Amino acid sequence: MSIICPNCSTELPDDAVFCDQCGSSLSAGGLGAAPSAPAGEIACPQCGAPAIPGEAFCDSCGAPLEEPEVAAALPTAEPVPATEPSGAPSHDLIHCPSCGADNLPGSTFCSNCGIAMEQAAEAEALPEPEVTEEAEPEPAEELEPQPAAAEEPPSPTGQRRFVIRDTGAEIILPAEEGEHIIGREDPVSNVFPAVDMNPHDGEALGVSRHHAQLTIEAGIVFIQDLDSTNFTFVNRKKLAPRTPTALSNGDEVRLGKLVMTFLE
Amino acid sequence: MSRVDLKVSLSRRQFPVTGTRQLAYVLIEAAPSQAMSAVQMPLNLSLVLDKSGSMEGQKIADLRTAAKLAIDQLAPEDYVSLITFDDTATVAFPSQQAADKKALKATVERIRDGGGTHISFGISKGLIELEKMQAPARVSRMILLTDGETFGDEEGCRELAKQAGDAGIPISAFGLGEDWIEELLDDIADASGGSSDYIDEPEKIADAFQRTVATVQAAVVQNAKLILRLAAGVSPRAIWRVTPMISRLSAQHLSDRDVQAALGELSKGTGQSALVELVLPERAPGRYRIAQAEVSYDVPSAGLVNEKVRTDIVVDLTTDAAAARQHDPRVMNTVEKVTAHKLQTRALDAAAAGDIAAATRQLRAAATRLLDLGEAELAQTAQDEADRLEKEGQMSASGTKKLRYETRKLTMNIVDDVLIEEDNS
Repeated sequence: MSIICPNCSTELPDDAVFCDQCGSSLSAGGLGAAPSAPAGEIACPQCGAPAIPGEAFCDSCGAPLEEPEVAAALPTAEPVPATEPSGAPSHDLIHCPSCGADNLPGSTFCSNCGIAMEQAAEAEALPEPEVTEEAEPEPAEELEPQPAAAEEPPSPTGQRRFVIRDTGAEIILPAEEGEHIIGREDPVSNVFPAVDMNPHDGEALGVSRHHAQLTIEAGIVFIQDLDSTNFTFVNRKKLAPRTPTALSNGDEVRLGKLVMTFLE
Repeated sequence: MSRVDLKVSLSRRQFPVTGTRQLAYVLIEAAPSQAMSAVQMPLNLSLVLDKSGSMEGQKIADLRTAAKLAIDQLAPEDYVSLITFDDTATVAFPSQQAADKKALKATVERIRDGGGTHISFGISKGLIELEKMQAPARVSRMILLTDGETFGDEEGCRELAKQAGDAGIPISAFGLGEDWIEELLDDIADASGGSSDYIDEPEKIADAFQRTVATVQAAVVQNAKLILRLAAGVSPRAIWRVTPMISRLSAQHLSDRDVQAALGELSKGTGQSALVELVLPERAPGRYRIAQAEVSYDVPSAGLVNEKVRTDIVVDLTTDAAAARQHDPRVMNTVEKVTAHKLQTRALDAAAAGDIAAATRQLRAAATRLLDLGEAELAQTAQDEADRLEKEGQMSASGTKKLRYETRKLTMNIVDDVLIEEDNS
């Protein structure tokens, strides 16, 4: 009635192709070369379950996982074992410089290992160690000081504003405490928001006339969505309508498709 | 000219060189192309409706209204039949063209409640009517609605659903209220290649029926299959259907490196999309084709069979940590929705198996994900059910149904690409 995962012993339905718990391939021979050694791999910080680098959420408890780290040392470009074609190789075929597999002339990517054929050919031509040496120190230097800080210098002015990502235009926000509507001015329906997005292509980008509301209270700026048609997002999270969310310096605010950074 | 547009998006623009294997999320979207916009499929439809005693009052009145509105939606050359069931099943009108809608609706008006519930009798009679008018260029569909538990014929229902699936007749199964069995309707949907959904208020039956009829009329592409041809070392971990609704797709190995998942029909406008989790092997920096995605499909209106469209899935591996941190927000949003759905499914499974502690934990995790997604109401339901589970040892019927079916629909509005134009008058 059921099969057992050879990797983690979970009981699975007969027709399972992959283990529900650990993701192992269950087909005999499977997808073959799938690397199985979890050396250097990560564990969920919340429940400790093993995770694959690049996984966004823990498969076991759902906790968000961290970004995968760039390897300190580059893996040496180990040639992928070639699948030897049976019979004599035809003269019409070209060989992958990386794994040696036969490919049809004109192939952009190797049908076996997937490498871009041109790039593999270049890599062959270049002395390998040099690439490794040059590339190694760079990521280490770049990793630490770089994020967002360079793009969004904390402003000493204390003036609150939105900076539109695509145009760099600045919108100075009202300074006084209280409620301020963000939307699109429309004299026909008598809508005159405090922050008008018409000059910033608001209509084409899906900003509603009454899109969102800024509330400034004790010096803190809150934003809430006013049941807008195309929603309000803060740092890529969709806001529930009419639920105020505090903004802090550098937050990404999105109205429909209009992306801005909040600075103060 | 391809009748299907195929689009592939990856979770990152560039992937880091990690020195280990890593996971890549790939969103594959397939939809009928612009060339198909004028096509509407002729239907072969059967309405199989529960008229048992529990349908008394508003339910039966709203059901009559919904059936009449569905009939109004049909083209005159569409075929339709109406079956009502309680302890027995009655063919209210046999399969016929919807030319005289007035007469058909008059029959609907005569439906009265009474009796018990024997779903299999209804399905059986519905199938007989549908099989009469099956044709390659006509889309067959059974719309089944019930509000209660069936009496002792669950296995019969499952068998008939399988027969329907084999005959190419998907069943759209709807449960009304709280007293029906989710597992049975889900099984009927799965075995027949159809869908299942819940309707909490009788006034929403009409909307559910109309959406179903519209979707079937738009199903211009049939028998779609997704095939992934993988590079050496790449393995798929899971394939999820994400639109129109989230569900796990079962993958079938065609060979060592080819994997196939059946998608079924593609409707105009929505199409279908799938989220594929691929495990990539350790590789040096560079550009790699990790897989080819191919969709094979039939277009009955043009007499086309086994047409194909394919596209490459290419990744760039880089040592630039900053570049590797750039995500495609749309793909990541989909990943989060699938995660919420997965946690919720596990929670319900754990609760059904009696593992209260695990179920509570998974429900709380699902609530966190839902809250992050801006789904405040669903998050609250998950939280409430977790509390209830902890205190009383079981979940409520309405909360269970809401979580089970609403988390499937999380992907229904992916807003990033589609802006809804406002009426500026």
